[in-house]
Amino acid sequence: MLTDWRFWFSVPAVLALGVVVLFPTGFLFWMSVSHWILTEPGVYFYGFQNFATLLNSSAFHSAAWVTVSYLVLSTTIMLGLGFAFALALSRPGSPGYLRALIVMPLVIPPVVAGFTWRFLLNGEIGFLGAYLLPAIGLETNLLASPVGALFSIVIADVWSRTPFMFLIFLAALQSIPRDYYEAIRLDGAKRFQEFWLVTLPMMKGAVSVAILFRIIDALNTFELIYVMTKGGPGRATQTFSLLGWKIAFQGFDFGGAAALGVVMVFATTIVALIVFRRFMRSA
Amino acid sequence: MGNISKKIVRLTAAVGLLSATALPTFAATEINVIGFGAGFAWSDLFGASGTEKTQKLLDFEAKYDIVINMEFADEEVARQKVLLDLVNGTGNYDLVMLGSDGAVQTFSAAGYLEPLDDYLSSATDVFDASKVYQPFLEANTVNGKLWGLPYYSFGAGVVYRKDIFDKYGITSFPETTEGLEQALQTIKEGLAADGMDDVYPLTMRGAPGEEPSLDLSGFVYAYAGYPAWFEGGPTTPDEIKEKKAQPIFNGDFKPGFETFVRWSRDYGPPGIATHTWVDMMNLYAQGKAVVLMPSAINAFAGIPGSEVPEVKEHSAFAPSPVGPSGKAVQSFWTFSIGVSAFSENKDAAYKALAFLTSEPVLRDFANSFGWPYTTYPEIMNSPTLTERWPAEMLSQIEASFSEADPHYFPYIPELVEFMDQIGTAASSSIAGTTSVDESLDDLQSWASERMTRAGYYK
Amino acid sequence: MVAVRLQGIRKSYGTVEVLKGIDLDIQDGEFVVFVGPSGCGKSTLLRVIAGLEDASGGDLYFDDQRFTDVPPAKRGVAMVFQSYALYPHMNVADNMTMSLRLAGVDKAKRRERAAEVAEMLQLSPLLDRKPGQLSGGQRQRVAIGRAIVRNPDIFLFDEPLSNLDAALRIETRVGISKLHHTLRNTMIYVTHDQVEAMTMADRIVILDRGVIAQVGTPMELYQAPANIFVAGFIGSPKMNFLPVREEGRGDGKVRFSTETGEAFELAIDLPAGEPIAQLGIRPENLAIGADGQIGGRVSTVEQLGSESLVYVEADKATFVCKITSGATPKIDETVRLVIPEHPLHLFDAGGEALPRHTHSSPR
Repeated sequence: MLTDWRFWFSVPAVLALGVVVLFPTGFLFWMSVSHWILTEPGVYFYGFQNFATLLNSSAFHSAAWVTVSYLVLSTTIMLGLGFAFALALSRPGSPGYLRALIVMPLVIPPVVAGFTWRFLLNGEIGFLGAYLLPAIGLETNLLASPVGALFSIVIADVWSRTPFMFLIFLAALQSIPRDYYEAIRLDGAKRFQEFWLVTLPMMKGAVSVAILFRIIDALNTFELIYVMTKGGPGRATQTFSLLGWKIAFQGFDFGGAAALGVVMVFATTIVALIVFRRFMRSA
Repeated sequence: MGNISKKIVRLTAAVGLLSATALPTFAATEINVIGFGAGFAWSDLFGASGTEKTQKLLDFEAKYDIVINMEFADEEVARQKVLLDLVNGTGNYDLVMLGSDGAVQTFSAAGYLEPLDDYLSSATDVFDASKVYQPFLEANTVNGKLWGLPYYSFGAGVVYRKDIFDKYGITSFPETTEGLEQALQTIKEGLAADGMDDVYPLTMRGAPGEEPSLDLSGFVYAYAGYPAWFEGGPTTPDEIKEKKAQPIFNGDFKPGFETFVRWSRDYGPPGIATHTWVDMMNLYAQGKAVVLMPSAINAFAGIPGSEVPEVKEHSAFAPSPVGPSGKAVQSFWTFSIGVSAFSENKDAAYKALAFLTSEPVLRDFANSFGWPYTTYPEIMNSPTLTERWPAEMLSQIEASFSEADPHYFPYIPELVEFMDQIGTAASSSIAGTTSVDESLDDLQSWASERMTRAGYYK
Repeated sequence: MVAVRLQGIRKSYGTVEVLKGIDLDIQDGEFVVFVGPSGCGKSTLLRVIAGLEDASGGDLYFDDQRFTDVPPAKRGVAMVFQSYALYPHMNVADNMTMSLRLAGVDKAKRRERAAEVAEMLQLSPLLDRKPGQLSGGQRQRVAIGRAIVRNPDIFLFDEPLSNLDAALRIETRVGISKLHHTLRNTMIYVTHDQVEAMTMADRIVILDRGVIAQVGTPMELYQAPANIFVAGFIGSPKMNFLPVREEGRGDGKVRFSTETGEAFELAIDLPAGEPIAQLGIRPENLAIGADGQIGGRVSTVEQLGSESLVYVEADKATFVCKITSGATPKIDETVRLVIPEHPLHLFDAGGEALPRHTHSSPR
């Protein structure tokens, strides 16, 4: 291989990839087994102590619970809504401005989206939280109740990220050949059977891609939550990414934060593999 | 994944980038500062945009042959940049922002800051420490050394709606927490009877994280009579280690914590468990809260922009009420700036720091915002403020400085983390997720574990 | 087994009229091919019959019953799509028996029927494969099998061979013809390939820009094209056309001149009417000989073994002669083309065929 001159052309690319991908990842793993905490000067090998501390902390357990709830809830709603919008707007002749309208939130930065929803849902002065919801008999202050705050985050996140699902699904729907629908119509299918027997199976690949993107996206959600609830009330909306931020920038424990990062890498990989196997292989 | 690894990537990348860009400087010494709140902080030097240089700044630069490069960013971004710069020891920023509720304690312990005591005499023409309210210097003193000079700073107090107090027959503001609680109850009942269900007797802050901790610690201090975090009330690492003082969050810490939570729940707005100083300020400014405490500054920040005439006309100041211990509820904070231990031009950096916190600069700040808070008695008692505020009020505020105990919470390196945990526990209890006892038991066990892990009880 | 009658079928998309009033009768059990260039409306017409498109006007009858508004699934038609439209996530058996599944037939029965049809189409070993694991020809057969499973009154084929290679195309063509012989169903088949049409059809319907250009058996269309479009469309190589001016007619003779000044006389007996504007000669009827009426130069010669195609540049056009015997001329050779009096196709200025008095004449 080394004597093949063509091999050498790949060397710069491999090196660049190594620096860009492997080095930071390796660095993360190294940090996770290091005692590196600002308040106790001195960086040294710490074994799996960071992991032990992390996994034993109640903050980790509550963050795991919050992250999973948030992930499942937001993903379900987003997939459903994104799919529904895509279905409604995938037919030829559906108005383009509606598609543009749905996609719009995507270009609004999470921080701005978070602030907007925070003010909308605010229980004292917010248009939704203080006027609209009470008017229809919902007196609870969403942002200040533990379950309500999680729902608020989900609402804002759904608002902000559903367009992405919508785009994936729209592209996939539009690439399903019309023949399939005509064939099954001739075979006597009703609307829901068309959907169930053609659309849904044909969308498997797109759905799994969307779920994968969503999982990664949800684990990365930080700004939105930080701005809306700061992870509260209490720890009610403190996800892994907020916990990571707290460990790193409130506790100044970089080793501990890296340990959480490593745990998240593994968790994401496992979930991604499951999704991949469940959907992609048969699609 | 996620946020952490992103930051780590940024961190490692920063090591490379910064060392490459640290060019030698010629002629004028360049001093780099990063700040937040362009148009708020130092607007008299860098203008409303934060990018221009006023004549006053240019004069200083010419006189001392120093160029001050100010970089403004979002608060969170700025704080993280400072942290990464310090952790890497790059010295990209000569001056770093601090706060007396954690950063001063943590960064000084980590060896990231230059003690300023020896520099104080080097530029007395610019900054004279003896002319500053001493508690603001004390607040920046850890282990007997001064680590930062104060800029925007405040003490405890109450701003309230005198018209509403009068309406419900309370003619003078209560001097004790007990009296205030009665007053809040009276007001609550009065508001309810008048059908004013969107006005709340009290506004405080209860968001998770460090947000409520400053004010909450003030309640703890007022109820316990000392910084009741550890047995016997030690406030330095050495004292804690020496006495092996265990945390007492479910002990003497409790009465103040419990009161803060109860008041928030009973008299505060429904969303208080996620409220930050911004919400606290807005609610008051919009006339939806009767009492704002104990960080009265947040009311003064909100009043000028208020569109509710009653807020502007009938807001009054009162000294922070005294708790059962005889000590007043505290809320004392300074936004201060320190010299990075990694700065290559510490003398010039100090001079720049001295200038940025000097009397003329602070006077301009007072002029442009008009808030009755400043670090210089000379400004407090000058027409800048006396023409705007009643003399009695200014002297009460002055008293809140002099009577304050800046160390009303322990000055330990882990302070930021403790503040975060305490605030989050309060938020939980206010929201009703956990009872006060559960929150404090959690806090207690977390603190024991944390202090043990940090080696305090070896 | 059903006869199909179309009455004034129209179809417009916005302002574009794709079908401009189609009248057509298809006999019970007939194999009819719709043929025409792309855009002629042949697929649209098929889809109207299937019910996949609603006609903008006109009526559709199956055995004298009006079916215009009957939903596609209730028409008793099965369609084989150009793309085959096999569901990639289902195996062959499930693909073939989808209609049964939708009709509520239980799984065992479905499997039985699939096996039966698979046997017919030599698909038995493939029943559990997914379409992605099949060759093009196999997919084609599955698509046909799916239609057969339904036991329809009418089979509709929409260009079913266009995704196959040449050899497979011929094989499948034969297969479909056999199928028609076995099943005796009414079948309507759309193609743009006149060879397919010629070889398979009982009757061919030639469509041109939304109207029927001619309907007839393959030989009718070949021998008596109704117009210059049909004449040019049917037959390979294409019919040669020579634009002419009629200089005079009488005594069973017509005198012509061409654009380049050639003049000649042909014995043509035709009733009075429009003047002849073009002569049409099939390549096999165009000979080369010293007594030819038009001079030209050989540009290309294609040797096909049993026959040769000689391309002659004459009268500002290229003429093709199919020569089956004798010597073939060389390239660049100057030759003369012999225009026969029979069979010779005559067209007026509007492209319509001009009828001749019928009388037998030696060929």
